[in-house]
Amino acid sequence: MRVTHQMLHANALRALAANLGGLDRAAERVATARRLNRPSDDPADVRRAIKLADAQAEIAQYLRNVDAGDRLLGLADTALGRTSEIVGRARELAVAGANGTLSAADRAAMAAEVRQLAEQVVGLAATRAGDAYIFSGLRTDVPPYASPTGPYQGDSGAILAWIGPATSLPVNVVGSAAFGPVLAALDALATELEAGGPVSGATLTSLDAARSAVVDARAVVGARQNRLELGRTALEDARLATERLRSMVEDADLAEAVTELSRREATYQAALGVTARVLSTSLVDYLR
Amino acid sequence: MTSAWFGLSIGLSGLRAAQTMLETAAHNTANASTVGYSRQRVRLVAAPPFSYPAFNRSGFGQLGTGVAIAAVERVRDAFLDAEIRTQVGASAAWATRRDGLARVETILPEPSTAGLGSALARFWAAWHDVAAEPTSIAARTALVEQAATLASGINRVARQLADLSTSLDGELRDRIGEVNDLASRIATLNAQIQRVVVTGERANDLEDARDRLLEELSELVSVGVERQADGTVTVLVGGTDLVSGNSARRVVVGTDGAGHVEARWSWGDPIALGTGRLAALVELRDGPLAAYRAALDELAAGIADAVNALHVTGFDATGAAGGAFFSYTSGDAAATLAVDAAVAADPRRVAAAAAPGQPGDGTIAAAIAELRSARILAAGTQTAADFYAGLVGKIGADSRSAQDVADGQALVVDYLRNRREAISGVSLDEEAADMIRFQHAYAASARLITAVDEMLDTLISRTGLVGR
Repeated sequence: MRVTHQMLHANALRALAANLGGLDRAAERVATARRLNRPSDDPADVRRAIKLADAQAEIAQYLRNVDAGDRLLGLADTALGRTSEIVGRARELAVAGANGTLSAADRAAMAAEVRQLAEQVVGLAATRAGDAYIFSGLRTDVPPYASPTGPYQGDSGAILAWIGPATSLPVNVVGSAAFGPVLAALDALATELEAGGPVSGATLTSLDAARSAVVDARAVVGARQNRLELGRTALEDARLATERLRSMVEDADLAEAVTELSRREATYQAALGVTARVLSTSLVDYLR
Repeated sequence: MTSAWFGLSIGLSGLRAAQTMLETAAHNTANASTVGYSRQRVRLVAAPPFSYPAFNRSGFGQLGTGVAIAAVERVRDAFLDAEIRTQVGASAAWATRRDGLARVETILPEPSTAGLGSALARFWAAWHDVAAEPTSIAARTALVEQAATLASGINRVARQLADLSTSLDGELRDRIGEVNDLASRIATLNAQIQRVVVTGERANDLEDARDRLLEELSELVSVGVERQADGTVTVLVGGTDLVSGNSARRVVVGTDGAGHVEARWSWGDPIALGTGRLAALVELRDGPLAAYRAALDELAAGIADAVNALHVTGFDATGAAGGAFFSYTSGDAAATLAVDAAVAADPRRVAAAAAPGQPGDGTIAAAIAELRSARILAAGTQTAADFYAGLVGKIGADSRSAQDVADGQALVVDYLRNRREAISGVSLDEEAADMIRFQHAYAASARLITAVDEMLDTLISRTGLVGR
């Protein structure tokens, strides 16, 4: 084949452009540390990367939901713990009140303390997360009890935490179940003390029953916290697995990318050298 | 016996031939870098011989009379030209498609944390936040913000795709102008070449220029080229003569049913464009680009419909029944998707609860959040994320295959151009070597004239002096 300088020139330019293009792509991979920079870089993997990013966002959200549920249960646990202590104090007072030797003044003072304790229980029942009452079922806009002797104002609805696809668990304690028996027992105790008589056995029994209602509620809270914890562990595992998978799909293997870059660089240098030598000579250079 | 002057005229014909060849070599060298130039060659023939007049034919026969210049020809392969015209059309078409799809890719820069994919993920997540804390105005406000971000993201992509479609129309209009320009220049060259050819000469350089224009034209549309006896070419597009002799028809810009630009003949028929930039622009606009726009509309409408269907079953923070969450104009969903005005104005209107008077209930919000994994698109076969990933994957695959085919097609054209260069290109080495050859031929002819001159000198000045 006849070879002309024009041809050499065009071929050399084409080869240089191709080499430079390869160098550019290799440099982009190193600079961005990603192997996918646009959909056409690897369409199938870009599709996977988008779905993995979505799965990752979903898992992150379920983790946020676990945190939110945990916060509610933690608040409930604290309130119930304090209530349990109050019931304990009330029981001490009840045991003391069962003793017939107390003076009327002592009984009046004890009755006042019990009323005070009942007010505290109402306050604890009105615990809020943000501006939502957590013991009012779904009526989060009203406190469960307006006063120690008032009716339960909430409902028995369950507030759900979504901790996985189609997986939810209630993260609230219905106030009437946990605080209702306590308030009733405290009222009975205070009424008996105010009446001046000794505290009856029935009141002591109802205080014990109230205490076990609170303990039961705390046990349920604890069990749900455990479930949330298990859910969190599973979600964290899934998050790590997805992250690793996504990194494998999206991120450039840096060692490989840098090696590729050096290889491209060397090729480009060589192409430049050869081009400079080939293009500079012709027969004209050798004629006198 | 021939005249004593005969040798002088043979020497002169040699001098002339050598000089012409040297000049042609100079022309070639000067045009070594001219695009579309074909090297020229002087075709020499022995001049008509002279029959030696004699009574008796047993003599030595005819006597040579020197050299004659038959023609200055251009070295060119017409079949290769035809093949190159076909392949540059395909190459230009794929390059156009590749460039257009690369622009689509910049409109959807995925994978990225700023793309529609992550806006969609954040949108579903915001519903979960509302479900967890339905009484929180902050969570509701964040949801409305996130929904507005998603809607405006989809609006932006829809608008940019529409802009791209418009700009393809603009380019088509420009390219039609180029076709008309090239056609009229080819017609002008036809006329010039015809004037040269009728005198029996060759219009090498004009033909080079015309071949180059034909090649440029075939990048735009498929052309058939028929050579006529008078040296002109007839250029056929879709079977109709665009250029015939010294006249060219005009291609006019029309509008098709969808309001897009269309190339037409002056009598209104659409032009069969074959392969080339024009056809590629039309195909890109009405094929992939239209499909992406339809898919984006489907995505926007699918999300809006699914969210609205659940939202209207819920009750908002004021206890009122939920209305639509998203609004859009059907038929143009992606460009018009927006958060419903009532919800946007007051986040309490987000209907998170399943029943009125239960402000702590986030059942509906949670159900909407779970739409993330519901098959709400492509007739109930894909989730929103699947559908979006599929759309981006399709764009990527289309763009990738256009890049690959365009690269391959460019190689074919490069190969053919190299072959043509091998035949028609100017080799400086060759020309330099020829220059020396012609110089020597010139010197030899000059020396011959000197020899004849000395012969004549002998005859004229020294003959007839015997005995003096």
